[in-house]
Amino acid sequence: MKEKYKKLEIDEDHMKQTIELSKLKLKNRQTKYEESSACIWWSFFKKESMKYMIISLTCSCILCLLSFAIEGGYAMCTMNAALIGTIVLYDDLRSSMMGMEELLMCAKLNPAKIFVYKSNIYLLMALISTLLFNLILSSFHHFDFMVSLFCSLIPMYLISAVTLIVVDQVSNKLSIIIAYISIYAVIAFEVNQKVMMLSISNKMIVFLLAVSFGIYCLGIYIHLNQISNRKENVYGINR
Amino acid sequence: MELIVDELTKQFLKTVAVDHINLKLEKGVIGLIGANGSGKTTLMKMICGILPPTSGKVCWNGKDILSQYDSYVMNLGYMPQHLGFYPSFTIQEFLEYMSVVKGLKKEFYMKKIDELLFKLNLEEKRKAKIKSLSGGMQRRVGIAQALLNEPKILILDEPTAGLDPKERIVLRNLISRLGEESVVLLSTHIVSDVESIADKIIMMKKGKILYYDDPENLLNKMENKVFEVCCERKQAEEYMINKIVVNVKKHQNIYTLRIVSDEPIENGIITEPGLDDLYLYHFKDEVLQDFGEDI
Ligand SMILES: Nc1ncnc2c1ncn2[C@@H]1O[C@H](COP(=O)(O)OP(=O)(O)OP(=O)(O)O)[C@@H](O)[C@H]1O
Ligand SMILES: [Mg+2]
Repeated sequence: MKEKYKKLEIDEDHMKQTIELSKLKLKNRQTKYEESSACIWWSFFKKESMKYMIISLTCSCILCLLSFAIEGGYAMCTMNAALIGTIVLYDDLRSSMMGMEELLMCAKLNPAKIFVYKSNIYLLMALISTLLFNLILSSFHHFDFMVSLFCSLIPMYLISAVTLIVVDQVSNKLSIIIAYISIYAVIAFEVNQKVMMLSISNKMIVFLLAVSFGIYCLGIYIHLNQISNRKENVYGINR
Repeated sequence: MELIVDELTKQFLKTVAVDHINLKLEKGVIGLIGANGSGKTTLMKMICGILPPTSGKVCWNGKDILSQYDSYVMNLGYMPQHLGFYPSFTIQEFLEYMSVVKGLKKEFYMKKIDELLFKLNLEEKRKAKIKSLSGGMQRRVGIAQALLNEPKILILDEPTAGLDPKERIVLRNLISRLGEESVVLLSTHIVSDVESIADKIIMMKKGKILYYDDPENLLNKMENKVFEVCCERKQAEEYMINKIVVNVKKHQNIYTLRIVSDEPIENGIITEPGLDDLYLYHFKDEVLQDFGEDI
């Protein structure tokens, strides 16, 4: 039965060729993979770089200009952070909803790693561009870019931390809602407290920055360990 | 090079999708067949390590895959049943993206992508956006993506669904060639897709393995159970109700029925069994049983 089909559909020459080819390929096999993980991340960054650049630059540019136009508008820098946080989350959820996640789960760069990496790159880009724009603006006007920078960093890390923790814990829809609520809460708070924000001392800002950065790191840690934890738990219970 | 599935179980709330399965998968093409909801996809996901099992484990080269996952995925190619790609990517971009994510070298993957696009007949569509592709083409992109890293373990969840007959044959040949060097596990509802190329067949029913054997041995089990009968309409209707009828042909007023039955059929001629007969023999059984319980 099987032979009958094989004779029908597989031509002998092609078979021989493929066998020759696969012998050749075995030699290549060792060099098939990129060895250093830095190289892997670099090529990943190049694949995604346009997206990073454009999104981060546009957000930062628009919001920095706004924050300059509005007197004492440090809140705008915060909105920048909120926006970047949302985009990272959206990006992650979109790919998981489309089913990319299943594909990526059994790849070297799995969704958890990609998510952490992306959120860091987005933040870094936003940071650099915020710094840059504020620097330019402050040379034209009297504009305290250090304060605005700190003000934008704190919520940025906070929101990223929340999204990092939330994204794997609950269902997709719920995490979107939670993330949005937290982002809007931050924005509403900032807009209301605009005047008060200015009077917070620099020490306080540094302290808040440290706290939020700590939470952010914790978020990354949790996210990275999600897959291995899940596996250990499963085995732990059964033993 | 073997993959061992050891007492693997997955339970979703109340449904036990995969129920204490033991398997030893070796090099070659292994066809996984079973009705909707019999647990094929769940089993495959657990073999890929993307769905944590409720209990049991999967071992590759003697070690639990989850304990050596990073090196395991280098040998793994997976095509999910429900494909989801970034719709704005072109085929070329998508395959490059997947190569990067799999950690492949540029010199290697550029050549490999060309080779795969040629083999899967997608060369003309290289620059086309994924969203503009037909269903069958998307499936072929999914297959190409699984083959990028020349996997030693290839898991394909319904690779032939939605492909036209020509592409089916192309894919069948490709798969049978891949089976020479790797473990290829593919699920399908179209029995004829695996009948010709599979070295082994797994038949699943309600999360359990019904059979795991060579197709030849499985067919031997059906020896003397498949009949062909020519009859009138009235008799044909009777058979349809009481027997497992695999096929009906009508020529003028004479009906030719292909029947699977444990007892001999009156005037029936014994014919060569196929896997379709085996499949229906087991799954029609299930339907009849359920029907009986209702009454
Ligand atoms: N995430 C889930 N949550 C709850 N139940 C699930 C989940 N995934 C699968 N199931 C159940 O597990 C059983 C097996 O499903 P599975 O998808 O493995 O079947 P299948 O053999 O692949 O079917 P098909 O041929 O339709 O693809 C079904 O009863 C299904 O309802
Ligand atoms: Mg399925």
